[in-house]
Amino acid sequence: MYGEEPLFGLLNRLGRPAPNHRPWPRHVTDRAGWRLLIDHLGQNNWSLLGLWGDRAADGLSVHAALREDLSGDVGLVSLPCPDGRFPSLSAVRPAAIRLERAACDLFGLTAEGITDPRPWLDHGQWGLRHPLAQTPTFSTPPTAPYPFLKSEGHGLHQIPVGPVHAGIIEPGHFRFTANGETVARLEERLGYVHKGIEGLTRGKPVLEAARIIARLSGDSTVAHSIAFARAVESALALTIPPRAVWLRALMAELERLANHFGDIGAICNDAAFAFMLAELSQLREAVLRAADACFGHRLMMDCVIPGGVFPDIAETGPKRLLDLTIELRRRFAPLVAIYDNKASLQDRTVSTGIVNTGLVNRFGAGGHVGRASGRGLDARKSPGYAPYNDLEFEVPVLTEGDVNARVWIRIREVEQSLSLVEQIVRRMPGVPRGPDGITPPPLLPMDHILDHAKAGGGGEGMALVESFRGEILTWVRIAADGTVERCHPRDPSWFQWPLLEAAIEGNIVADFPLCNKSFNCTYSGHDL
Amino acid sequence: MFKHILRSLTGGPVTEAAPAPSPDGLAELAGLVDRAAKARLGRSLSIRAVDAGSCNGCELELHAMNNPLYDLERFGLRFVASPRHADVLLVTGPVTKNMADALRRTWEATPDPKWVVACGACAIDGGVFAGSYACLGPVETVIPVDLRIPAAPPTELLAGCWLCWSAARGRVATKTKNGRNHSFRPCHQNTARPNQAASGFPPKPRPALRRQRSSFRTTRPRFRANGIVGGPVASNSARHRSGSKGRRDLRAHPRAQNRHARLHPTKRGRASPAHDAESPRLRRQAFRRPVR
Ligand code: SF4
Repeated sequence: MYGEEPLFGLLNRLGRPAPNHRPWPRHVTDRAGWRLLIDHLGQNNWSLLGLWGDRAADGLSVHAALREDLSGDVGLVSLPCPDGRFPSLSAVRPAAIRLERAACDLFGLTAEGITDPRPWLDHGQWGLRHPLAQTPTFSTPPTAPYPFLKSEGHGLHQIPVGPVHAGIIEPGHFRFTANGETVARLEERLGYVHKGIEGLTRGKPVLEAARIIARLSGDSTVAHSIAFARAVESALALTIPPRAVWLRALMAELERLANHFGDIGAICNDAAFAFMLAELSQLREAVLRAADACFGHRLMMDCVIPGGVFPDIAETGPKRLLDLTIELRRRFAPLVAIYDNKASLQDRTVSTGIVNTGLVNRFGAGGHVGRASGRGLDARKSPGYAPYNDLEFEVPVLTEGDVNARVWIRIREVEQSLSLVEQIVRRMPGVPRGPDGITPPPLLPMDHILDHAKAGGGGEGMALVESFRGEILTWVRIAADGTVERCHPRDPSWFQWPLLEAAIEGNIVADFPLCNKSFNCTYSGHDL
Repeated sequence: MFKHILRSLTGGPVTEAAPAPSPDGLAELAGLVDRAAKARLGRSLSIRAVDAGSCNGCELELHAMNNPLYDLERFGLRFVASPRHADVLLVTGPVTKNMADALRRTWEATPDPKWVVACGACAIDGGVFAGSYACLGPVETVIPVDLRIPAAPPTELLAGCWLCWSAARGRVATKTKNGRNHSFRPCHQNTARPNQAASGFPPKPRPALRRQRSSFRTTRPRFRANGIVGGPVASNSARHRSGSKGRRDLRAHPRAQNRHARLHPTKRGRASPAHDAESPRLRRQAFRRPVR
């Protein structure tokens, strides 16, 4: 499976690196090069990090980001598509299917030879076709219903669910085909919460765009904000105050804690063990209140912005967070013991919704979904970013791939995050007081950012950031006037949603909420 | 585990008291709206949350309102799984075009009388998503909105609920305990409600639905339907009053049945939605539920 050729060896043969792309190179190739890339993807197991369309002054193009998992090398390949067509990667990387369908819906970029040409985000309701293309065309609502994949056979029946679900959750449609109690096939249909975020950010000043990206997915608002901010900072070659780097990590870990607490509780609740939800939602609340006290917002929305962090942590914040970690440790351990010892709970979670390692690797899924199935990648370690290179933590990996494993990954990550919060609070660098006796916020002034943009003539940047779900990829192109020309945030859920379809196969319908919650993919972050 | 249970039993509830009473405090607001809700709906109010394109932030905070610390249910407000069981649709998000149809159909599926609450900046005016090719913006572009809660964090949301309810009753309280001004306002007057006919609201009930409902009523004992729709308060009280042991007894007891039907005419079709709108007397009755 492992090819001989390193990723960069191939990329250098494919084309020339584009100027002003940081921190990893972006190679521009032609159709022959793209086809060569497809050949090599079949022989190497580089993971596909993302694939997205783009419209620059010189026309449409498609970008693909790849990573060599062992070395952590990341590279981008771009193919200009003057005729709006490109050879599809879907045959060698099934994870590309939905990304290519989305690129087609938004830009009108046709993937030749794609295994599934149906629309994905476009439900025919926008009044426009290809809204991000050079010239969007008008459209009318479709007359025919969306063609779901067929599953036929004796005794099969369909159960349509959604888009409005029974709980307080986001909308999406699930089409089950069941044989009695057992699910024979699940097909997802998403895109209901498509808000046109990639279109909205276009032409916006970076700060305004950051506000939109912060609202991409409320539960990972910090992680998405960090990814966007770091991509912008890479594009403009900015160096932010070190304290801001540490504060960002602190917020990211608090966010991870809050979400994992909520998820573990909700998974147990879906297994009819409401006690855990009641207890763990109190822990979640404790984290959110601490975040509110430290940064002025419970979800820490808009606290991370390009150039740094605003506001700085409250003066009492570090003490409060250290107390919080002690309190959380004290209260979390007995709950873990209860989870571990409850036979009725284990009965539901063990061996339910199994995803095997091969599938996880094929789709390049990260986060708890990947780690519970033996794929132990974490963007904080590889490629790694500050301040995590200076911190001590482990990435838990299990191989069972069932709901139970995904719960345990979360439990272990909670423990790691608690330790990370302590380390960060203890070692965070301070900011010297200014000449006027006031401590400046850890933030670059906006003028400085604009000057950099003007001096460098803009630039392109990419960032990989580990959210609580897995790694986020954000790619931006900033114009010389400091506005965003193109921003593509790729949520980890893109590669996890397809696996949910595989996880539920052969399980009973009643276990679907449990599987779904153990994945906890985002709808909003995926639909953009 | 047993230690935990013991602690839960002996330690008292973790639910926080509403903040200390102050002229504009939450506690007072809670009391205020408790009265308001009681007067209209007895003690219970069923809320169906609909995400019409939110970023999920609003949903997280709605979840938080259900946690033991805020415990929304102690005030009789609870989230239900089906629009058929709901008095209130709580809509979040900037109504994406892909969700507009689903939202409209959820609204149609909610029996009258119903209220629509727009929750969060997105639902009120589209928030940062206003102007997108994929969003319609405010909820009222799709369904009539009665109340608006601009806040997201649970304490404010809680306060917002109360304020809205009291405001809906004509007592306008616009300041929170922090002295901050909220733009809570009763929107009956200035949204689609008064000229419903002109704007096509409410859409005609779908025939299949009506038929189904009436057959439900004739073939099954009424209290059962009440029990399902009206929640435990309604069904329990009915059972207690009739003093009977089972369903058949109650059906055989015309007085109990009548009384019950009189108390709960809302969702079960004695007064049809169309009736409601025409007759103010019936409509008023429709709001009334037993107060214990
Ligand atoms: S109001 Fe705020 S939290 Fe709610 S959906 Fe909109 S952006 Fe998200």
